[in-house]
Amino acid sequence: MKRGTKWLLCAGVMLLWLLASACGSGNGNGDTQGGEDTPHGGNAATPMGMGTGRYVELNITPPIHGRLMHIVAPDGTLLAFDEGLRNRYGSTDRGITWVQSPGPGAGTERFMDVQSVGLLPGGNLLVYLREEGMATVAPDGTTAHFPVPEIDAGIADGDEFILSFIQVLDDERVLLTYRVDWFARFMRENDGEFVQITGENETRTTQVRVGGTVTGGAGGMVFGMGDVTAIHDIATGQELTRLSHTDAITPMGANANGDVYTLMAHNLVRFGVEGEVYTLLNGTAFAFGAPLGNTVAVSSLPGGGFVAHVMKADVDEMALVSRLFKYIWDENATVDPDKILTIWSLEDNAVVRAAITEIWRLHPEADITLEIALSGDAGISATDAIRTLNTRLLSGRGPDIIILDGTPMESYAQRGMLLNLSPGVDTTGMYQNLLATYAAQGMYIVPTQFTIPMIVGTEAHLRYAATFHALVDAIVNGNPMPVMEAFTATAGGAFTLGGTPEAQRAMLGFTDLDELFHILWLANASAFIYDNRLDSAVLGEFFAALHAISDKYGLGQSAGDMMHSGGVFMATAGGGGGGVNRVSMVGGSLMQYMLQNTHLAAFEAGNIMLLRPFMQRDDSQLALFPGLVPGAWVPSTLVGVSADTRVADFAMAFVNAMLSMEVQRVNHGEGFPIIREAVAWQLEQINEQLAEMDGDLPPFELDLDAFIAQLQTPSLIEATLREMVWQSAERLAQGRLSVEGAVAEVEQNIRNYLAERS
Amino acid sequence: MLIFFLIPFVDTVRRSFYDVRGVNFIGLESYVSVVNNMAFRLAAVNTARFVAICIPLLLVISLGVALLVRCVRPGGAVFKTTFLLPMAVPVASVVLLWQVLFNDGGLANSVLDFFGLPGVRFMGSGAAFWVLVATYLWKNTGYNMVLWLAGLDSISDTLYEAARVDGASKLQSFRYVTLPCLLPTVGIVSILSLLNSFKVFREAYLVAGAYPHDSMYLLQHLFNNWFVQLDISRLSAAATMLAAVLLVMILIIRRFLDEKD
Amino acid sequence: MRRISILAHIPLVGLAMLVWWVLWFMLMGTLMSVEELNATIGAALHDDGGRSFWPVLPAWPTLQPLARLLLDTPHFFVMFWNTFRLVVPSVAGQIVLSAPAAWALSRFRFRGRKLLITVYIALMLMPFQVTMVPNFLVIDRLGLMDNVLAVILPFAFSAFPVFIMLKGFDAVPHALLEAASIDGAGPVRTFLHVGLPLGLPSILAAMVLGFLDVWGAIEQPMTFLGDPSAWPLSLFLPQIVAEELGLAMAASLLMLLPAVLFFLFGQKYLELGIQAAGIKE
Repeated sequence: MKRGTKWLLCAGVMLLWLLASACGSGNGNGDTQGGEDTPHGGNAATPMGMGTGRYVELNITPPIHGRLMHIVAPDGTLLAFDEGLRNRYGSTDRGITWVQSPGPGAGTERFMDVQSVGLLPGGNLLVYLREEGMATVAPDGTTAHFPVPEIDAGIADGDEFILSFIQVLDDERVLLTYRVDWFARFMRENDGEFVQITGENETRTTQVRVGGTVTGGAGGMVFGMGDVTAIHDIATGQELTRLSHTDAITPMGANANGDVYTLMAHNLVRFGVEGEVYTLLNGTAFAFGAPLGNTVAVSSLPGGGFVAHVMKADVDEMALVSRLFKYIWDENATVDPDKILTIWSLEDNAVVRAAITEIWRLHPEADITLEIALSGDAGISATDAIRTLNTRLLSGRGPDIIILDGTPMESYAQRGMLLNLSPGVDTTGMYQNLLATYAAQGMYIVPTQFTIPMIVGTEAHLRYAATFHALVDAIVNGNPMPVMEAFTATAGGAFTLGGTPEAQRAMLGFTDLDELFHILWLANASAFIYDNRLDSAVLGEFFAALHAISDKYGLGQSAGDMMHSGGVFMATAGGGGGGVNRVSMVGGSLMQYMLQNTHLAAFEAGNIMLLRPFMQRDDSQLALFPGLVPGAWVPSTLVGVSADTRVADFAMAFVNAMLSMEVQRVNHGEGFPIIREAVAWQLEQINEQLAEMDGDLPPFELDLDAFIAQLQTPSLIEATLREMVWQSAERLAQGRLSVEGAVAEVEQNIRNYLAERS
Repeated sequence: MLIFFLIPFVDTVRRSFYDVRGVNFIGLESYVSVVNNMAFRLAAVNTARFVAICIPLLLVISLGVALLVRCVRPGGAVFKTTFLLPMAVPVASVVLLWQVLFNDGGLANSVLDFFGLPGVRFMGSGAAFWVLVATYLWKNTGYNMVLWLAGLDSISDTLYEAARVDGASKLQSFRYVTLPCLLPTVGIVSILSLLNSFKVFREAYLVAGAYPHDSMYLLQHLFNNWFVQLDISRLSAAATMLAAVLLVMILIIRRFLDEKD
Repeated sequence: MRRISILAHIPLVGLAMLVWWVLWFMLMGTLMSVEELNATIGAALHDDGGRSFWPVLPAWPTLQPLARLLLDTPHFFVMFWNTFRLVVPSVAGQIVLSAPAAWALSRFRFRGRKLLITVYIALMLMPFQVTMVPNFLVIDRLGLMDNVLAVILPFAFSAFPVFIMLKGFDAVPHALLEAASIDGAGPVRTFLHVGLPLGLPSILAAMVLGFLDVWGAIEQPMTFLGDPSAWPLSLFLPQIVAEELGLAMAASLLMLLPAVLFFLFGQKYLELGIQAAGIKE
C-alpha cells in the first residue's frame, strides 16, 4: 500500500521537474554563438568560479594629455590624434606601442575645433571645420572641401553643426552623424550624392542620441534613438531590425550576425538581432563603468576585443582627459580566491565605484562584484531590498562589504553581524572627532564621507543665527519672502543679481517645506530622538519653529506640489578638476541668497567647489547651522564588513581603499572627504586652478577644519523616523494640526517603533 | 513537504533559543524579552482582537448571505459569482483602491462631506482597524458563503418537513433544525477563516507601511519589522509561541467537532 | 416564496454593489486619461488637502493608458510570461504532489493522523517572515537560488491544496472503495479510477485557489529570484502604482483579467470543491 503511494510521489516529482525545467529553460542560457570576440561565450560576464580565462582591461592611452580622437582602421591599426590634430599616434600592435609623428595640425590652429575624425582610404582624414563644412585633410595639413550639400547650405545660412560621428564606409560613401539646430539626422553618400537613409520624420528628431558604426560583411549601420536602436543595411539603407530597450545606449559595431555591441547602463552588452540583451562585461570593475567617467565611444577590434574611449576629470591634470582602454580575453588570467569580494549597496555610490577602481588597480587578480539593490527598473522598495539582504546575511550567504546607508546599521552592529574593523583599518588620517561616535567599543561602522548643515551670510546677519531660537525669531520678525512673480517679470526669467533691495530682503528663503524640513531635521533630530526615547518637549520646540518659519514664508500651501521647486541644477566640478557628468542640486535657499533676495542661506554643505561661488556674494561667512543639537553633522557612505565574510583581510583592504587619499581627494558628490589631507588637497586645488585663470580672482580662503572640529553629533538618518515626523510636519504646515497635535501624533506613531527596539 | 515546512519550523524553534547569528545558546532569554515587549503585547492583543471580531462576524455575515442566496434560486448563481470575485482581485489593486477610498482626501471622506458629516482620518485613527476588518470581510465572504451553502444543501428536506408538521414557525425551524445541522460546518469554516485572516496583513502593510496606526498594528507587522532589524531570535520566539497558540486553538476546534459528531 | 425571493434581492444587491462598484471603478479607471485621473482621485493619492470624486463614466474615454501599457511597455509582457512560468508548474506540482498525499491521509488510518493534519494546518498559518530564512537555507542548500524552481517548489509542496483535497477525498463513500478492492484493484488503481474522478471537484478547487495564490505571490519571487528580469507581474504592479496612475489602473485590470477568467472557468469546480471541503468529516 505504502509502496504505491511512494511510487506516485516519485512519478509526481519527476513530472514536476520536467515541467519546471521545460518552463525554465528560456532563462539565461547565455551565449550560443560566441564569436571571435567572446572566446568563452556567456561565461565572460561572470568570471567568478568559472576557472581560468576572463576579460582584462589594459590602459592603452597614447602619451596624449587631454582630449584625444581615435580611429580603428579596417586593418586593425589604431590611430589617435590629440587636440588640434597636432600629433598623430599610430599603433599596429593593438595599442601596446605607439609611434608618434607630426599630425596635419602641427604648427597651425586650424583644427582646434575638430571633435571627430574619419579615415579615408589612402590616409587622408575627413573632418568638419567651422564655417567651412566637411573637408579632407592630407597628412601635411592641406585641406580640400568635401561637398555635402546640406551642410554647405546650412553653413551658408549661418548654421552651426556638431559632427559627433564620422565614419568612412568605402571609397565612395561616408556616414555622418551630426546635429544642427537641435535636430539630428543621418546621411549617406552615394556616388557623391547624399541620400537620407530613413524617412524625414523618423530621423529628424532630438531623440537620436548617437550615430552608428559599421562592420564589414553582412553588418549594418546602427542608430540609437533613445530607447530604440535600428540596424540598417549598408548597401540600401533599408531598415533591417529594430531593437527596443529601456536604457539609453551608445551603439558600436555590429558583428557578422547583425548583433550590436554597445554600452548600456554602464555595462558592455551584446544586443542580439532578436532583441535579447546579454551582458558581456559588468561595468562595476572596469573603466567604462566608472560614474565619473563618460564613455565617448566603444569600438570592436578586428580579431577580437574592444576599445573604449573614456573621458574623465583627472585629479592631477585638473582637466578633462581621454583614456583608451582595451578589453581582451585572457585565457590564462586567474582570479585569486582570497580576493573575491561582493559589495552590497542600496543605491549607486561614486565613492564605492572609485574604491573598486582603486582596489582593482592595486589587485588586478581580484574579482569584485557590486550589487546595487535599487538599481534600474527593479522597482522594489528599500525595505524589500533590506529584507532580502537580511535573509542572505542570516543564512551566511551575504555580501562581504555592506554600504550601510539606508540600512538598519545599528541593529546589524548590535547583533554581531558586522566585523570589528579596528584591527585592520587605518583611521589615522580621518577626522577623529567624527570617528569618535563610531569607534567607541570596536569599530563596526565607518563613515567615509559627510555633510554639514550650515548657514551662510554676512557677519552682521550671522549674528541673528547665533542660536536656534534667535534664528527663528529673526526669521519671524524679518521680511516675508520676496514675491517671485515680480522678479521674473522684470528679469525676464533670467537669473540676475541684485534682486531685492537690502531693506526688503527676507532673513532666509526656502523653495518648499521639504527643504526647510530637511535642514531642520539634520540639525535637530538627534536632540529629540536618542537612546530609543522621544523627548516630546524638544520635539515641540522643533515643530513650533518649523510651523513659524513655514507660516512666515507660506510654505504650507505649496507642500506636496513638487512642480513648485525653484532649486537649480548646477554642473559642478568633480574632484578638484573640471568635472564631467556630475550634477549637484543647489537648494532653493542658496539660490534665493545668490539672487540677493535673502540675508542668509541654510543648506547641507558637502561640496567644497560649490561653497566658493556662494561665499563670493558680499563678504559671506560660513557658520554651522544653529540647531538644538551641538555640532550636528551627517555621516554618509558608511561601510561595514559582514561578520561571515571569508575574505576578511581583503574586505578590510577595500575599506582602506575607500579611505585612501586616491579615493578621498576626488569630489564624488557624496559629501566632504573624511580624510583631513583630502579636504586640504581639494581646497589647494581650487586655489591652484584660480591662480591659473587670467583674472585677478582672490584665493578662496576657507578654514573648513575649524568647522569640522566643532562637529560632535551625527544626525539621525533613519528614514522611517524621518518619514513619521515628516507626515505630521506636513499636516502641521498645512494648518491641519496644531503643534501639540503634531507632537501627540508623532508620540503615537513612534511608540511601536521604539517599543520594538526595547 | 517536510523539507519546505517542517524543517523550516524546527529551524525557527532552534533559532528562538540562540543568538542572532545562531551560534550561542541563550536559552529562554528571547521568550522573556518578547513577553515583556510592549510592541509584542499590543500586536498580540490587536491580532487576537482582529481574529475574535472578524471570524464570528464573517461567519454570521456569510451565513446570512448564503441563506439569502438560497432564497433567490433563479438569480443565485449571479450573486454567488459576484461574492466570489473579490478573491481574484490582486493585492496591488486592493491597495490602490484602498488609498483612493480611505486616504484623507479619498472618496469615503467625499461621501461623508456630501452628507454634511465631518471627515475621518481612516488611516490615522481607530477607524483603520475597521477598514481592515471590512477588507477582510469583503474578500472572504464569498468563500465562506459557498461553504455554508454546502452545509445547507446537506440538510435533508425531511427534517424541515418534520418540523413543519410539528407546527414550528420558519424561525423555529431555523433555530432547531438548520443551526444544529450546520454545526459541523462551523469548524472547517473557522479554520479556513483563520487562515485567510493572516493574509490580510499584506494589504495592510502595502497601504499603511511598517508602522500603521496602533489599532491595526498586527503580529505580522512586528514580525516584519523585527526581521528588517535582524532581530531573528525574538522573531523566532514569537513565532514559536504563535504556532503553539494556533495549534491549541485548532485542537480545541477539532475536539469540539469530534464531540458533536 | 416568491415574495421572499424579491425581498432577498434588496440586501443582496446592496452587498453585491460593493463588488460591482470595485470592478466598475477599475474598468472606468482604465478608460480615463491620466489628467482626468489626477483631477478626480489625485487628491486621495497626493494627500494635498483636496477631496476626490469619482464620476459614473469618464468624461473623455480613452484607451491611451491601455495602449501605452500594451505597446510601449515591453517590460509588462516579459513579466506577464514570467508569471506563467511560475504559475503553471507550481499549480501542476501542487496537483501532482498533493493529490496522492491527500488521498493517503484520507484513506489510510494510522496513528497520529489527526495530529499530522493539525500540525499541517498550524504550519500553513506561519507568516512568511518566519519561514523565509529557513526556506532560503533549504533552497540555497539545494542550489536553486535564482532559479524559478526556488519559487515553484515551495508552492508545489504547499499544505493548503492537501487540506482542500483531503476534505474532498473524505467524502468519497467507503462502499465504492470496497467495491473496487473486491474487483481486485490495488491502491494505485483505486486512487486513479475511484479517488481521482470523485475527488476531481476538490482537486480543481485546489487548482483555482493555488492559481490565485501563486498569481499574487510577492515575497517569494522577490527573495529567491535575484534577477529582476525573471520577476512576475505581481511585482510590476506595486512598483508602478506610486508613479503612474493611468498605467497602474490599466495594469491592475489586466492582472485581474486572467485571474477572473480562470476563476469563472473554474468556479463551478471551485464551488463543488469548497462544498466538498465543507461537508462534515
